Amino acid sequence: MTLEWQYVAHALPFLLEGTLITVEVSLLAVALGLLVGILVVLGRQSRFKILRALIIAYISIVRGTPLFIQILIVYYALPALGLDIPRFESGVIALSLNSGAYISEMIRGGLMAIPKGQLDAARAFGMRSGLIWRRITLPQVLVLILPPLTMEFTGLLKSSALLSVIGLVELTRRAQQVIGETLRSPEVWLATAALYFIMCFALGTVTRRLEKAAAAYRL
Amino acid sequence: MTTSGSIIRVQNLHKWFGELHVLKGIDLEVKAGEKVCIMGPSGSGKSTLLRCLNFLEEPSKGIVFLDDLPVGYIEDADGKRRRDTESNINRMRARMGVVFQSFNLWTHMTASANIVEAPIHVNGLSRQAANEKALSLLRLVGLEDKKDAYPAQLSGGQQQRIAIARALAMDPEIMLFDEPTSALDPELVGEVLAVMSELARGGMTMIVVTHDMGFASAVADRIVFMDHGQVVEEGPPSTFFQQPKNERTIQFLAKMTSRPF
Ligand SMILES: Nc1ncnc2c1ncn2[C@@H]1O[C@H](COP(=O)(O)OP(=O)(O)OP(=O)(O)O)[C@@H](O)[C@H]1O
Ligand SMILES: [Mg+2]
Repeated sequence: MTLEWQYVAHALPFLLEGTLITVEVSLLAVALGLLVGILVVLGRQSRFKILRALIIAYISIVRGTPLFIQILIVYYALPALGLDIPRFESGVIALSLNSGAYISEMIRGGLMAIPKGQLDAARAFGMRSGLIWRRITLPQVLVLILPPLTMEFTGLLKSSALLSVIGLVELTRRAQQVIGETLRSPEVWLATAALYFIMCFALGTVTRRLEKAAAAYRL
Repeated sequence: MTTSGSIIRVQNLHKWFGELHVLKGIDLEVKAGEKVCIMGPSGSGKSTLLRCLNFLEEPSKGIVFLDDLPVGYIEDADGKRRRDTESNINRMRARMGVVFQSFNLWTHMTASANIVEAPIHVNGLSRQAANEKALSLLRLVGLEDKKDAYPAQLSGGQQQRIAIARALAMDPEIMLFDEPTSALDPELVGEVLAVMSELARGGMTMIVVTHDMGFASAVADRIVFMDHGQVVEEGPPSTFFQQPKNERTIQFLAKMTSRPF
C-alpha cells in the first residue's frame, strides 16, 4: 500500500484544531497540577492529622492506579455522585490531580535542597512564615524543579491522548474522526504522531532556554 | 518591672536538645554600645546561646530580655508567662541584626535585593527608600560595584560583607555575629573584620562569637568565655588574655596561641 499524503493535507486543519485542545488541556493541567502540588506540600506540614492522612492516601492512590482508570473515574463516577462535569473540565481535573501528586514529590525534593541557613536568616530578620515561603522558598524550589516539571509537562501532553476515551475531541480523537471520514488510517496516524512530536520538541527547546535564564544565579 | 539599662539581659538560660544539656544556666548582660566577644571550645553552646537571644531556638528554661521586655513570651501581671504571638516575636527579631558563619545570603537574589528584602517586607519601607539605604550600606562595606551580583558570583569575604549590610539595613539596636570569619580563607578575614571594627567605632552594640584574639583584644569591652554550656570566665580583654584565672580558659588560650594562625 502506498501512502497518499493529499489526505493529510486535507485533514490537517482538523488535526490542528485537535492539537489546540491538547495544548490547552495540558497547559491547564500542568498549571493546576503545580498548584495542587504546592497545596499538597503545605497540607503535609499541617497540624491536622486527618488532612495529612488524606493527602498521603491521595498520593498513594494516584501512584498506584493507571491514569486511564483515573480519567474514567472522574468522568463516569463523579456524575454518579451528583457532580456533572463536562468533558474538557473532567480531563483537566483528572490530569491535574494525577500530576499534582507527582509534582508534590518534586517540590518536597526541591525543599530539601534549600540550605536551612537561608531560612534561619529570613526568620532572624522577622519574616513571617508565609512571606518566607513566597519570597525565599518557592522561587528557589520552582527553579530547582524546572527540569522534572518539564518532563511532567511533556508526559502530560502525551498522556492527554487518553482523554479521547471520554470523548474529548483533542488531537487523538480528531485523528480518529478524520480516519472515520477518509478511511486513510496510516497517513493520519503518522501525521498525528508528527504533531505530538513537534509539540514535545518545541516544549523542550523553550524550557531549556527558560531553565538557563531562571538559573542564572546558580552560575 | 525594673529598668536595668541593658539592651540584652539573659537570666538563668537553659537549653536541652533531647537529653543533651547544651546551656546550663547562662547569665549575661549587655549594655547599649557595649561590645562583647564570646569565646569557647567547639560545642560549648555559643551558637545556641546566640540563637536563643532572638528566639531562633526556644529556651528550655530561663529568659532573655530585650530592652527589659521578655523575648518570645508575654508575662502576665502575676508573673506567669505564655508564648508571645508570631508577629510580636518577629517584631523583636527585626530589632536584632544577625550575621551567620556561613553568610546565609539568599542565593536567588542579587546583593542589593538581599539588602532591601526585609526592610521592604518586614519594616514596610518604600522601595525607593530601601534602595537608597542599600546603596549607602554597599558603600559602607565597600561593594557598590557588586550591587547586581548574585551571591555565587562573590567571594566569601564579599558575601559576608553583604550579609553585614543586609543586617544593618534593618536599623538594628544590636548586632549578633556568629563566627563571621570562620568560614573564610585567611586572606579574606581582614576585610570583614575591618567592616566590623568600623561598626564598633560607630557605637553599635555588638555580641560577637569569635576565635580571633586580635579582633577581640582590639574591639571588645568584655570577653565572655564559655565551656560546656556555662560562662566560666568573664572580663576585659587585658585581664582575660594576660591573667586568665580559670583552668579551662588557660588551656583554651594556650591551644589558640599555639595554632599556626
Ligand atoms: N538543633 C540541634 N539539635 C540537637 N543538638 C544540637 C542542635 N544544635 C546544637 N546542638 C548540639 O549542641 C551543642 C552545642 O552546639 P553549638 O552549636 O551551640 O556549639 P558552639 O559552641 O557554637 O560550637 P562551634 O564552635 O563548633 O560552632 C553541640 O553538642 C551540638 O551538637
Ligand atoms: Mg557555633
